[in-house]
Amino acid sequence: MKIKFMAIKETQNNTTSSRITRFLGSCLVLGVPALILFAFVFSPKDDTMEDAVRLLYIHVPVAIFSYIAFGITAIGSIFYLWKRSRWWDTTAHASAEIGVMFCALTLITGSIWGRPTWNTWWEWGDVRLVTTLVMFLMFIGYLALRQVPASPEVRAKRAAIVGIIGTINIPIVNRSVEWWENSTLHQQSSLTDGNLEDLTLFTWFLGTLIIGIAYLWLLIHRFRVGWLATEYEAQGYGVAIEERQAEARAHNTETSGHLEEGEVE
Amino acid sequence: MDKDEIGIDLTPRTNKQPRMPRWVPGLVLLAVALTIMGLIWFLATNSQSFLEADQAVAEREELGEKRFQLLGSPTSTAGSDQTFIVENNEYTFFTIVFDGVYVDVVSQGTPPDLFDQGVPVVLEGNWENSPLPIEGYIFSDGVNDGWWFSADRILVKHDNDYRKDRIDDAENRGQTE
Repeated sequence: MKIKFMAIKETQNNTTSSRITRFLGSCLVLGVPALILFAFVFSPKDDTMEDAVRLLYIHVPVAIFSYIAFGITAIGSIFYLWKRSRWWDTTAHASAEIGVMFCALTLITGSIWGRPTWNTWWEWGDVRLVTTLVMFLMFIGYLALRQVPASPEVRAKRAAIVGIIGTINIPIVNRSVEWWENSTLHQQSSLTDGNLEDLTLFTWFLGTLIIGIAYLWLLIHRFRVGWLATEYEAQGYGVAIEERQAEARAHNTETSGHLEEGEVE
Repeated sequence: MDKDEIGIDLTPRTNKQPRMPRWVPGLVLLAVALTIMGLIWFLATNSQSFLEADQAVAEREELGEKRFQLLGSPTSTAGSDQTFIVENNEYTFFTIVFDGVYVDVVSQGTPPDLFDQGVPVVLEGNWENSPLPIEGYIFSDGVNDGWWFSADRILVKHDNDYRKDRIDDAENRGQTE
């Protein structure tokens, strides 16, 4: 509930930043140039793939954090349905938006990787590629569903159901390279097989750390924007009712001269 | 208190936002269900499946001229002595191996940059049992039994090993002898 507290606190300053987001942002300011240096200068070329191997330092981390982001959406959705808490719904929504962005980056960088490595930009029959695309489209659908006009409760409930269903695909995407080894050009995990070493391994870890910080930084900011939006939406009804009451009182005062006291109650 | 008593209508105003038709949530659920069913159908039936060279040789008669994807590792890098131009078409002659079973291949076009000895490739094409584009050509590592695989597309199935002193583990994966 710390984030919720900070969101409310920061509302008073009309900003979504705080000490923690400034710290995370500073880490990114330092970390991104360091990652670029390690990825493009210090880490070695691959013997066969040459410079194409450098895509590893962004493609794999964004793929991992798209899984994590959609996983957080599922957790938020489950907790929303259980607790009916706006905090969990806002978290699920924020994480889904970032997950969609990371998943799009995964597909784009994977396609750029595929051309020099596999000799193709895209294969429609490839299990890893198609299941990742389906995951991306399902969460695009999740975000689209949130735009359908409805009361906040109904909207959150519908989105939570789709958010949970969409997450079923994550293990399929992740395990597809092993379950259907002969139906994909995609390689298996290099990390779990111990096939990364020295600076290649270090740069991969650095990339994962930087993308992780970026995810957290974006999540907190997006959560706070989402929280403000729901507060505005909730306050909007109160303001409208107050305006109508004031309008009625003003009209009532004007016409009270024509009515006897106690008649209007 | 009503309109006549105070002269003002306090009936709540109707929501001017566009109301969602009742069928929209049903449509969304239908779309989600169809997506899941489509995914299951794709995984069960429609996904490509590479035939390993040994399996493709075993099923050669049944496959006939059917187009499929063949998996194996080239026995050598495609050199200039393996590439020929016949009637304005470029052909590359090479041999692949999987689990000790060799297949002679004639590929149209230039092999991709990562085409190399021991790096697994996926070839798209079909079996042929007709004269080669260059009659009398002998595959140096090949079977030369009259059967050859006619490929018009070469995809590279790169492994996941990025170690500097990596061992060519194609053998360990069973993709070579």
